[in-house]
Amino acid sequence: MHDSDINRLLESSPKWEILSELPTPKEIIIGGELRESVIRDISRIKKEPNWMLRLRLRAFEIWERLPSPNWLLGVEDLNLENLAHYVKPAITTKNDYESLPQKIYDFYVSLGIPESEAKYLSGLAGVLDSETIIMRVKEWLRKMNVIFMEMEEAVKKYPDLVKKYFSRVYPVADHKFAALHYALWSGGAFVYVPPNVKITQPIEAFFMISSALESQYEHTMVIADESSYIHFIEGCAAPMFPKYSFHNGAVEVYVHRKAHVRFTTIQNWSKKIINFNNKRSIVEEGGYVEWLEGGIGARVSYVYPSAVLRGKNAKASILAVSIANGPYIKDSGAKVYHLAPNTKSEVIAKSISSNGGLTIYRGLIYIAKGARNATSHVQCDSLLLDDRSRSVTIPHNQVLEDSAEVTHEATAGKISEDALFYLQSRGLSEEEGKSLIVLGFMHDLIKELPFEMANILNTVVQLEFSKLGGVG
Amino acid sequence: MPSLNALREKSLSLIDALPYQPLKDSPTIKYYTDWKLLDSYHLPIHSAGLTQVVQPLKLPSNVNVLISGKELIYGTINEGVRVTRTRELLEENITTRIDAIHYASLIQAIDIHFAKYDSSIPFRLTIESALGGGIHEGYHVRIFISDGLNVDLELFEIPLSDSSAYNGVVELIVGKKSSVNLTHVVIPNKKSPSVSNLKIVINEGSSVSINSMHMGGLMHRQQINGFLLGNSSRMIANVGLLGNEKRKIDYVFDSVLKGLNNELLFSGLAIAEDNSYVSMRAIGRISKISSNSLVDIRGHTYNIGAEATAIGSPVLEINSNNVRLARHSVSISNISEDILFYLMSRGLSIKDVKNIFRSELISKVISTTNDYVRTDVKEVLGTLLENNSLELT
Repeated sequence: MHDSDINRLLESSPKWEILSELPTPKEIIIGGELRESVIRDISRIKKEPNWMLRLRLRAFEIWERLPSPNWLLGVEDLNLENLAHYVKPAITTKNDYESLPQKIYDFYVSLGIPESEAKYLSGLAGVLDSETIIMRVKEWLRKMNVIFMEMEEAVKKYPDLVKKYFSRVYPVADHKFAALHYALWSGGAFVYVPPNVKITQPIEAFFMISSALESQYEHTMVIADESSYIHFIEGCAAPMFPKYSFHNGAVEVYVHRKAHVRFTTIQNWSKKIINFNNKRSIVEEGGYVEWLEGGIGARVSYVYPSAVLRGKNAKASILAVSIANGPYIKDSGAKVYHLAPNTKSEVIAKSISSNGGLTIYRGLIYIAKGARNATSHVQCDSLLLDDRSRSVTIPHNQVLEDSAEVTHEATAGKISEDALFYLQSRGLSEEEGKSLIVLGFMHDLIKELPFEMANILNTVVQLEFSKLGGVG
Repeated sequence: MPSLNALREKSLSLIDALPYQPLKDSPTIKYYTDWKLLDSYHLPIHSAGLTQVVQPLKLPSNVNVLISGKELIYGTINEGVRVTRTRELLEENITTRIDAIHYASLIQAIDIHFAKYDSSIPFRLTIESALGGGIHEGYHVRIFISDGLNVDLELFEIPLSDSSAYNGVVELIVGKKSSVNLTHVVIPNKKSPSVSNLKIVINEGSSVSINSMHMGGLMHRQQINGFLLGNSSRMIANVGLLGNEKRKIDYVFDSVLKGLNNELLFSGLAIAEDNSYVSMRAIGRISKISSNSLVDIRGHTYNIGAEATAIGSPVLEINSNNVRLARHSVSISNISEDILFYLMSRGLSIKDVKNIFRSELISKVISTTNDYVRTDVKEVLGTLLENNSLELT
């Protein structure tokens, strides 16, 4: 990148006003009309190889060509031209918390991240706005030859490895916003787990958006080689803004033969974030992918973790819990494509709607011809806490193989009066009883989390439903 | 309400502007009806309301009204039942291209009023497409059931013509505190596409029980729309879908509950065999004003064809907190290996076993109907199933 280009960008930055709520100095801000020059500028700033620029430009072309999905609710005010597409904080990537600006450090501490990282994580990537600002990798992780680094660094250091998987798991042309993601992606983490390596402690990526009218397009990639194991945790948070911000991230997970990947997301964006997250995994023979999805925050959220079971005996398990507490929309679900014999999948989706919230489950189970003896079970449960809230369940099963077996069941209803009566008879107030039932409803997710993570989630739910009374 | 001719003109002007169905391109909901097959058919060149009434005509004693092409043939009409030509229809019904095609291609539109009904014998209406000539054949029937009646109805839709696209709409409007048992059999044509839409409006304290059997066709779209408007109204649907050879069926059941203490029970059983394509979607919507209501949707598809496609999609939309029960379940599988093993150990071939399942499916759906209906269904379906014998229990 020429100096004059950077200067041009720096000069243009102050014209682009974003409403910062977590004041951090910004080095570069690119916003406004989405043109090819925006893509080229981002690529230049990142000093990317040419193949990545070409991929971005191709994605941009696809984005221009594809129609906007006409089924999205609650995003009527999303105007990409009002947003900053790339925001580079004036911080270089650090490897210790103390080097971070005080306000960022305080924010991390308030979320308990340094403490939890020290206790149960083997690595952490912290992304602020469009760039990674902290990378912590435990020494023993390096000794096992695990590659854990910023996505941009992996593009440069391991181009052959990245090329093999990047946009091959989640297709660029899957939908308009996927194409937009690939055109503008920035930040995120890359993990490669060598064959037979089992990482006992999870790795976490934590995403923050500091300002209103900002976009975040981080890209996370997890490659688990043969017979390896990794638990990857994704967390996110943002302060409350006077206006909205837009998150459109992507996660690509490749599970090689007999490998096992557990991918957990605790989405706790503030109620000003429009959240799109494009998640897909490909699972080879005997591999196993688990998606655990806790969708608590965001104004509007569209997330459908997917698994493509490509090898025989591959398995997928998707457990999603979403909460719409207030006038918010949580549109989530799961997609599983059974392409090989003896593949198995299980989807459990739980949703809670209260105070006028709307939860939607959309699911797809596709069993291709030749996926002999594939089996799939889907279960959806919805809990409505008041008469202003709504719940919609839209499952979809498409079977082209006669030896396959697909089952789906779902229930929706209000809090059980019997359970509430029982809890009240034990001395709890009605509100406390309701809160406890909500936590019990989410137990399937919480019990799968590391202890500290479960505690955090418990606290978040307590805060979310504090109006109902004490929890736990 | 506009006259039929005015409605036809209005429909003509809307055809190109409307989509075939209002579904949006959601990541999971797709277009499963091959609507393009309808594009090659044209609208009939005549004005609506050209019904030719033929009377009297000797019909089988169990057929009360037969609509066949431009002919309206009726046999015994029970006391208290009135059959009239429809003069006006609601313009608001035109929301999709298929609605517009329906009204623009109307061959016949009639109303049947039940002011009273004392007969223990069901009232049978049969609609046949018979004109051919590459046109859309639209038929529209409204059936009004007065308050406090118990009526047994049979509705047979049989697109006979190989060279026209059948497009039938039947509206069943049930008054207060009435009870309707409806047997609905649709046997689409294997060589031409067809669309059938049954709309049911149920008022306070009334119940409608439907036993329906639908075969696939070249491309058959079956839509059932239920509107439970009054308090304590109830709808029970017991549905069988049968896809064999290369027949396709896209079945959509969509009902909304708008009263207190409403109940909706849907039970679907489908068989997809050979190269068939069977899609069964059932949607239950509890509106905000519907309190203490119940929705239970269950479906199972036997996918027993090596090249068959089976789709199941049960949808729940809950807008009320006070729900007595909202549940759905659906499954798709082949015949259980245990059952297969047992039956084959008794000397049955795979073909015999499949035939037992077909018979079982049809029997379940029509088990509550009269003997002669079952005989008729057996006769009609048996000939379609490649001379396989059907043993109805």
